[in-house]
Amino acid sequence: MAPGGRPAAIVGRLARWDVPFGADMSDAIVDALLERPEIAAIRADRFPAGVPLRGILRNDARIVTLSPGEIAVREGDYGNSAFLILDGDLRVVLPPGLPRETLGRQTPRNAGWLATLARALRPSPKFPETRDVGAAAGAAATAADRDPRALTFLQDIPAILDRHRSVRLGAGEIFGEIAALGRVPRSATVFAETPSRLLEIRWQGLRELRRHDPGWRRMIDERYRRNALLNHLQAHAFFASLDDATLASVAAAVRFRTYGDADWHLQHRRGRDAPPAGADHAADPIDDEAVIAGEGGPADSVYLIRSGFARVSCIVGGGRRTVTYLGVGAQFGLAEAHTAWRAGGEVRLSQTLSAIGQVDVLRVPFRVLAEHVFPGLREVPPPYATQRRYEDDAFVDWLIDERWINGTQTMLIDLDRCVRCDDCVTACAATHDGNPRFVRHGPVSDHWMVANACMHCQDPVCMIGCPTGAIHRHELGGVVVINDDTCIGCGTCAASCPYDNIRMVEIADRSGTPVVDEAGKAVRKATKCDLCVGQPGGPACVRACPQDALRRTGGQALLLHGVEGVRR
Amino acid sequence: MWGVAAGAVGALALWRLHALGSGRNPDVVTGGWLLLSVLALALYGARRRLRVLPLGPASAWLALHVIGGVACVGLYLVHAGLAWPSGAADQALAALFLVVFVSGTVGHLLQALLPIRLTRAGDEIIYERIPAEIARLRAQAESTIVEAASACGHDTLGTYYAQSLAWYFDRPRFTLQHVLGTAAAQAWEARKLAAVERLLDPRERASLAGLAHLCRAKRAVDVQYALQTLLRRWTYLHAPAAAAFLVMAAWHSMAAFVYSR
Amino acid sequence: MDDPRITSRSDRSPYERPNLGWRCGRAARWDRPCAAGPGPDGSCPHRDGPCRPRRAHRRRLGLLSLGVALWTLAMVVFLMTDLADRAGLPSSLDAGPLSPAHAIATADLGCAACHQADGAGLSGWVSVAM
Repeated sequence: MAPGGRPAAIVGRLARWDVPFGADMSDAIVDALLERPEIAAIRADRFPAGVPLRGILRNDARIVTLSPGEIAVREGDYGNSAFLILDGDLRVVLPPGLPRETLGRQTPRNAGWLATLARALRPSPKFPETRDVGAAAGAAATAADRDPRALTFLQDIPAILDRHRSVRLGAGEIFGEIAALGRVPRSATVFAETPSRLLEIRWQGLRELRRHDPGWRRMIDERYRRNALLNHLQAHAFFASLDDATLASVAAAVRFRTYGDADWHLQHRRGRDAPPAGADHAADPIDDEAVIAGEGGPADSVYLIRSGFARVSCIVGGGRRTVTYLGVGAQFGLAEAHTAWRAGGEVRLSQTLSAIGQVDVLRVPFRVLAEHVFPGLREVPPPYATQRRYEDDAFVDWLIDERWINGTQTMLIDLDRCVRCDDCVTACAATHDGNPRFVRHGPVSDHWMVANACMHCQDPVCMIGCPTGAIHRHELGGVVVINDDTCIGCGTCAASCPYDNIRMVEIADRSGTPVVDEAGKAVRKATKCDLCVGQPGGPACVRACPQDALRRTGGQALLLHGVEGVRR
Repeated sequence: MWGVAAGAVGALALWRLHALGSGRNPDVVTGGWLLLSVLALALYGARRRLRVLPLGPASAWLALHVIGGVACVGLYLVHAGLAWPSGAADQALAALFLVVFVSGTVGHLLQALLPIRLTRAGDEIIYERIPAEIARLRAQAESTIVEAASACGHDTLGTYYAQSLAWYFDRPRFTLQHVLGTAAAQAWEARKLAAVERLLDPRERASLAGLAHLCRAKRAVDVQYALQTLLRRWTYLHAPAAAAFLVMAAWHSMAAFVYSR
Repeated sequence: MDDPRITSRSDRSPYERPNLGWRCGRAARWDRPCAAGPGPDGSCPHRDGPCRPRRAHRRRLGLLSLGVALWTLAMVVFLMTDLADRAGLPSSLDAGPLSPAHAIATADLGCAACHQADGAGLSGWVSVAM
């Protein structure tokens, strides 16, 4: 019986490794892997009983074979796994990378019109949150099985090697860990030069290896810093003209630092859930932010944001005013450092750069800039400034303090236009088998509401800790989605989301009978907005609003709502 | 789009004049165009049901619905003129057309004005959650009374609550006044809370301050209820009247076409 | 006391389902709705409760519109019958009074004097229309 004495449909509860990453990983294969030097060096006794090394290899890894020319990973794709080369040679294509058409870049595969029409005419299930229970336990593909790289070969390898710079990778080397652990797109294309065998490790397994083995942790962290650093430097226009040797010397001088708190999302939730303190309310959040470079300090470096967000602020009167925020790829201090170089003397910073949450920063020293960058720099971006009125600061500060800036598809509702008709919610439900995936409420500033809908964050912290990889980045566009079939209902993602945008629901079968496990406990699934990925027309909520009150937005565009924005 | 609509109506009016001048009966044609336009307006209702299909933004459909609705008034005048019809069926048709147009216009105005009032009122709440919120405030008020009674040993506040304030927390109140934007609810609260103050000892007065806080919260809910109800209820006139109008229009078109032969 | 004002906030409350046809009857009595709402057919899991599920706004509006449309159609049909005629009710085909000259000219045959379709029945209407 289900809770409440109702009859129930009983199913086996999904566990973490019920759906292994690779169906063909046998004991013999695992035994052979354990003999390899990279894995033999791992001390299995450091792994907990519940997550043994053997189990990780058996369930969180799989063997991938590649023919010459076959692409292992493509630049720009979102990936959830890293690769250890077992045999063969692969090539990493250096910037500027291969042309899009060479990569066989997929165009987004939305459902066709006929399928959508059939779906529109099909009546929604009568009961909420129903599932086809028979198919639920362990069937269907994970995102990893829908392999976007599998179907593209590079035709003329010698010509490609001739025209594009590349680096060879051989047996024992690892690649792809940055994208897997950092939840960011692949930074380069890697293809097989010779017949190759790879061990593909999904990021959950990589996380465990890094967590429990010091050798792998050191290796991953060093590679992370080294390769990410080079890639990141090259992404900036003022380094683009440097040759490899110069860039390497610049990289050697760069300091990599992390500011702020890795558990910012947990702190943010705790702070939000605490009752308001009244007259002695907590200090302005800006005062608690770790300072990266302070106003009045020497303009002796350029700071590059590697990941996360940072706030640019300046003293105004008796307080500190937010000028703007910076995200991945932004720089701070270039204008002032250049001024100092031209003037031949010391210049003071006119603004403060501080960490919002946790931010990784690359610090490029003045001497490197003076030697390699400034002499050839044609165009210097001006310092950050704003033309906002003071009264508009509240909105910008609210966006930053509440961390809405993390979202790339934040649901913003203009309450001065919204007639509260719930057409958006009804449309969302119609697109998801009768189940809405957001709640039309949320914090309000002036006439803007940020609704309780997944924002598809730049850094989706909800993915941290998912034991099965059910929550992952869709290969089309990087939208964060949940594979309902492999979700085991642990609730980790829901607990991690700083914005409460993931909801756990108790499921039923098509007749409305609650589904329980053998112990009689209700089976739950994590659910959230999936941006209607794969549906033609984009998010149904936006299309359905008759007043144009609802929009999905992110980045600097978020700041522009209701304010003049920031002059760069 | 307004220009296009005006141009179309004007063109039809000119054609009608020309047709009359050459001795033809233009009413079947003008009536046909009016019927087509009305059916096009009804498509907006159909589009709202087909939410899954990518049929373009609903805001564009609504804009066309509004422009088309106004254009239909022009088409009606071209077709039937200004005089009120004399036959019962035509009178019913004209009356329904008027009800649909007026209710639609009122609804359009409400949709333009009320959201701003709702935003300014603050304390946004989903309409379906209002009953639970009222229940929560009611429970908080009752627990305040109980705490006050057990703290000071008097039941003055509790008695007064049962006599005079419980009514307020029972359900949404002052709905019409909130729709009209008056301060009647605020004045009522002030009066009721001031009336009992001299009978209370200091501890009870602290509880009374808490009740005042709850009354303000209740008032915010009532404003949300009043305005959101109005935003929903106007459709209870517009949609059924439009449905009846479509039936009558179809009947009128059929009968007029057949009887014109 | 905690701030009792509603604060528009992100929280872990369940989804609202305006697409469902029925709502808990307790909400109609301005009380907290039950956790398990009514079924799709309006049945309530609490058989002995003092309240009954209510139709949701969209369902009510749809049914009202449909009902009014059907009633209108029924009236149109009814007002063409002899029963309505004997009761002195206006006909669905009543186009209003004729001018005096036309009234005199058509006194014998009535509407059929000028309109083939008058009194011709459904098949007559179809043949006239074609």
